[in-house]
Amino acid sequence: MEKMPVFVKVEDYHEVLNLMKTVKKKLEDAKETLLKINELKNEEDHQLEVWQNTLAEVEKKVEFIDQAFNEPEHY
Amino acid sequence: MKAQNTKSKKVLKPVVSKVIHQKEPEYMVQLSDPKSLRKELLECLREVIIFMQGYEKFRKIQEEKVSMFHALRQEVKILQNLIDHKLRRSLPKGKLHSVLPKAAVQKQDEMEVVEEEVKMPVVVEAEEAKEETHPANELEELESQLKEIEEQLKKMD
Repeated sequence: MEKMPVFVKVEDYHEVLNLMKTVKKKLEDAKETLLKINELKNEEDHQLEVWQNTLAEVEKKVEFIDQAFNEPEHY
Repeated sequence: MKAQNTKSKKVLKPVVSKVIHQKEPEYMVQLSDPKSLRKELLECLREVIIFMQGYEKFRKIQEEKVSMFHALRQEVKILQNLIDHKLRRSLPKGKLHSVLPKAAVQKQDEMEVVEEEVKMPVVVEAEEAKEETHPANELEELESQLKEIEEQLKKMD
């Protein structure tokens, strides 16, 4: 099966070559889109990280405020 | 009598109660380090606002991502069309069977059956059967195509 030759008509051959160009172009487009999706995913991850840090900061501050309320001076 | 009169002329004024409702003293609690407390409170508020702004940003990113997914799906569909239809047509078929979704194969078989039973009153039933054989969704169709391709690949080995 591997050694069997494959023949393509000349007119079809040119068409196939053009087709291959289009396929390659489309593949590049798909790769680019996937790359953008990946970038967006990274942005999402970064945003989630920022949220996590922000919440940790808020938690710290709330704890400080809570402590200030619970331990007033001369009470 | 006079004295009595004078006495009687004395109009008894209603006793105005001089009891003033005194407010209860408002007790205060002195908080330690008020400057830091205010500062922390404001910073806390600022962080929450930043968080909310982040949410808007996140929503926009997600919307963009969804549109990108759609674009990618379209591109892959075009690729599939190019490879499956145009490219394969230009190449010699060889001895391998063409990859057809199972539903389409079943449809063809049914068509043949219907042709054999030409002009029989059962045609309506055959059409109903055909509708039933339609793939439930695109995913099933893709799955059947994939199986077919895998079988062909096995035969090649």
